[in-house]
Amino acid sequence: MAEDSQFQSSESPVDGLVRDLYTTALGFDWDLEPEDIVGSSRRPGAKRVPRRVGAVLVAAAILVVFFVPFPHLSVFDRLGHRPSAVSTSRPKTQLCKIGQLRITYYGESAAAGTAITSFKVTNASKVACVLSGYPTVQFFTGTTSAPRPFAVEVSHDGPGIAFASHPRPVVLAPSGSSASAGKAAGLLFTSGDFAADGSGNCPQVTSIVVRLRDSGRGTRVFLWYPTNVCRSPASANVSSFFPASSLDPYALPTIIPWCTMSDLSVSIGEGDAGLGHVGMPILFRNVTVIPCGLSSYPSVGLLGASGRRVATAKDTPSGYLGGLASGTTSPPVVDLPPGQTASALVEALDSNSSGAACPTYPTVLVSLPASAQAVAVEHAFNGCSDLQVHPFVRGRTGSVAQAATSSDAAAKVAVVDAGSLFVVDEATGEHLLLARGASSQLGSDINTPAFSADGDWVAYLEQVGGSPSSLHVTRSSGGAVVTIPGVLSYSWSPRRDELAASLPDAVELLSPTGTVFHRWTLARPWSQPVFSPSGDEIAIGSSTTRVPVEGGSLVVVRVSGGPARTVVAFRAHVCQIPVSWTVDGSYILSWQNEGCSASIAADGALLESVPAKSGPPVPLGWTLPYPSWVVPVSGTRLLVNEGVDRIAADHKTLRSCDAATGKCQTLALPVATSTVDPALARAGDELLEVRVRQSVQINGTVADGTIWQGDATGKHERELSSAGTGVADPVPSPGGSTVTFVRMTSAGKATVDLLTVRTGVVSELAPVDDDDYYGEFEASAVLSVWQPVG
Amino acid sequence: MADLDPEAEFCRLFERTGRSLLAQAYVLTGDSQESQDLVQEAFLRAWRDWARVSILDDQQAWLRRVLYNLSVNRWRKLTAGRSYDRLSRTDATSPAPSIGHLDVMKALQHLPVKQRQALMLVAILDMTAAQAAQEMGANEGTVRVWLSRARQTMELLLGVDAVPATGTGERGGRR
Repeated sequence: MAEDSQFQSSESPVDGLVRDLYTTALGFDWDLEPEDIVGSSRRPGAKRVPRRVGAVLVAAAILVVFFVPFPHLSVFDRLGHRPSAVSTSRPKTQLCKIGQLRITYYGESAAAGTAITSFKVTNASKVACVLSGYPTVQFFTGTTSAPRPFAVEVSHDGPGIAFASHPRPVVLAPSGSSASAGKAAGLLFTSGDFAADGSGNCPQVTSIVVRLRDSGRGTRVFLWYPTNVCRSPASANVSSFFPASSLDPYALPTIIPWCTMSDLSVSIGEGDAGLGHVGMPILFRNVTVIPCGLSSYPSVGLLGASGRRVATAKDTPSGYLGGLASGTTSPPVVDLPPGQTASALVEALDSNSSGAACPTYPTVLVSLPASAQAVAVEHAFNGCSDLQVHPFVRGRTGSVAQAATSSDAAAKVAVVDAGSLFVVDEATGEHLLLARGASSQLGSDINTPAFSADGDWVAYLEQVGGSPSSLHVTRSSGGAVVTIPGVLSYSWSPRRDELAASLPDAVELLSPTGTVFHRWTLARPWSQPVFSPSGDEIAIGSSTTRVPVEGGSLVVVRVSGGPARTVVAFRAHVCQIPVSWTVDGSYILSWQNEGCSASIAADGALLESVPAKSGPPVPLGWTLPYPSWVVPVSGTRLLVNEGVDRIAADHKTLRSCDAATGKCQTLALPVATSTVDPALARAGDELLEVRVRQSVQINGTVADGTIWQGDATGKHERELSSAGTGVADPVPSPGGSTVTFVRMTSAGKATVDLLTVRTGVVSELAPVDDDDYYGEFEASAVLSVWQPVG
Repeated sequence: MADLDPEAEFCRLFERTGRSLLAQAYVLTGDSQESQDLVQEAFLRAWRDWARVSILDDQQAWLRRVLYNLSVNRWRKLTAGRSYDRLSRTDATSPAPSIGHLDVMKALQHLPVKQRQALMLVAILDMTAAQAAQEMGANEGTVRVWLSRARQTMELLLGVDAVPATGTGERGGRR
């Protein structure tokens, strides 16, 4: 074929020029040294290298620990390092034995005169086990062949929350298990890094022996690099075991321990009664200076006047007067910052089974899960049958507030952070862990979360290793998860609780509980299924290999069933990536993907408007294929973020186009400014966009992005300056009164923030993981914002 | 024993591959600071996952993959500026690149990243299209298309052996 001849990879003069450039660069005086990377460790006797990353992060961590009051512990700290919250709900898991464990050196770093030496603990056995509390650690100096014991005073009092008095146990999954989390734990000790004279001439630890209890067998772990133990007398702080997700050679883990009775003040709140039911919330206030967590059910008994226990409450998720939200059965983890209060609702009937009124009981006995220590609270309670206790929840009512009506419902954010999926409620700030997933160098297993139209459901994709991805659907308030294997991509209906899923050989219309309403067999559904605005039709790009020619077509199916209808016939070498429909449903907006290659598409593609009924497609312009950069406005009008400079934020303009005619008009921008991430308030008259300095190239970019708000014609724009800079992906509420957006932070993390436009107040909603190995080209890979219908 | 000293092993890997990766990163980005950041980050990831990386057959391919992925990571670009120790590092005392090199670098920046990567693997590392395809996880045919387009674009931009611009006109939007 004539075309084939130009595809030969024979040398071109270009190759020589590129090689020259490379050879020249080889000769540059690069000043990157391996020690810059292994900077957290140090050779014995070697020159002390500045511990750059480690120093900064650890100093920051120490600052947080020592100087910042704990209520200000960031959401990230609390969420990103959430330990195995459910560990105590598996009472059958045995405590780990030392022989089951493999303990390895993980790294050392230092800052502010403190050395941090960390270790990784994995389960080498075939059964799960629990690590609980503090290990006993013995320190040794000398050579590896002749270690000498070395007296070190051990304490567990900091710095860092991993040193709290009642650490949460860590469950270690068995070796070889497919569990994506919980395979390892961390352990660390801190010690003085400098002697009083400022020198580093101190005794050095070369190995430690770890025991799980005070006596018995231990396991020796050699340190790759000796750690200074400088204080006199020599002393070290040994942490509890903590989940390995918090293991970081550069920072102290921030693990929130379980609350103990001594951390709490217990009292009875204002009760409620009705239709024969009486209730009382039991309040638990954190009276310490560090956060602690509560989960599951308190144990509650009623004492009679004689002091004898007359009734014990039964654990139930919710009852007549409250408790968890309906449909939810698993108790949340409630992390209590100092001074904050959690509650658990107790309720009962006010008459006994024969209808007689109950006596009044004067005392309530309360203890925490898996703890024998109880407190007695004087409080008259006149319930005597069907005594129930509901789980710990945030606040003072013992109940999770039900969203009263959709009109005053608040935004919800679904976000993947450190591999796990969380749903964050704007109104309550409540963070719910929906799914725990692994995050590795290859990215997060969980991705592409999205809410159903009514916000009640969340779906996400999960891909573990090289296996095909699967779709998971669960209520946004938590609960059972439906899994549909083999799903490549999906989308929610804009109108109903229905989703469309692309499978390798078909497209299915499903209920959130996994019922298949319809199935259309298609050759390799290539694209995400895209619903029409009415939710009645779905457009899908389908690709076929007609050996040797690959190409694709665009088809539409009706949710009521029936055969697929071809809208764009098979075209060789071009695949269709539908992205959206015009608001009136008359055109499908679809990218022409040359070469049917996702990677080619990632560098830009021609957007066309394809008549949904019949007629020739109309080209609209070249864009990067970010779905959020094509925004239908009204009728056949849409906004297109145009420009194909591979640098996402560079040389992009916003154009207002008519899908019917292909005519576009570029919205005015200041000179040397690029605009990205357009978004429209659902009322349709507010436009938000992110402006970036032009020609920032790879180094600067949206580090200086700012959010602007104007009308839908791009006029009357003003900067939402309180959002600050380094921001992206704004999502306005329907009326435009609030905006969620992503803020880049300097620590390699981003946060989802909420701005109230009128007041300019910005609050942080959630952290979001931006450290994915493959990079997320669209915020939608890790983030979904649901806004209530206005 | 050598394999008991991971740092020495890591340093050996760095000595073996660091300079080549830095130069590749430079060709990829055209920016020496950025190159050092990228290579540092790639090695940092290798170090932090050393248990796994140390046993790979082709550690260099792993590092290259990380490097290329880091360079196209939009979120990384969005968060540019968080590079680890930009401030503490002294400036490279490198000779200024020649005008010719600047042209090549500039032209490279106009290539879609996959095309650039394919060209680099073939031109710099002497890979065949098949080897490049394997490394990039793409079809050999696709890689040949990328190579062909990359060379055409570069030839056009640099005025080398000017070839009629067949097959690039349809993507005129990008020029």
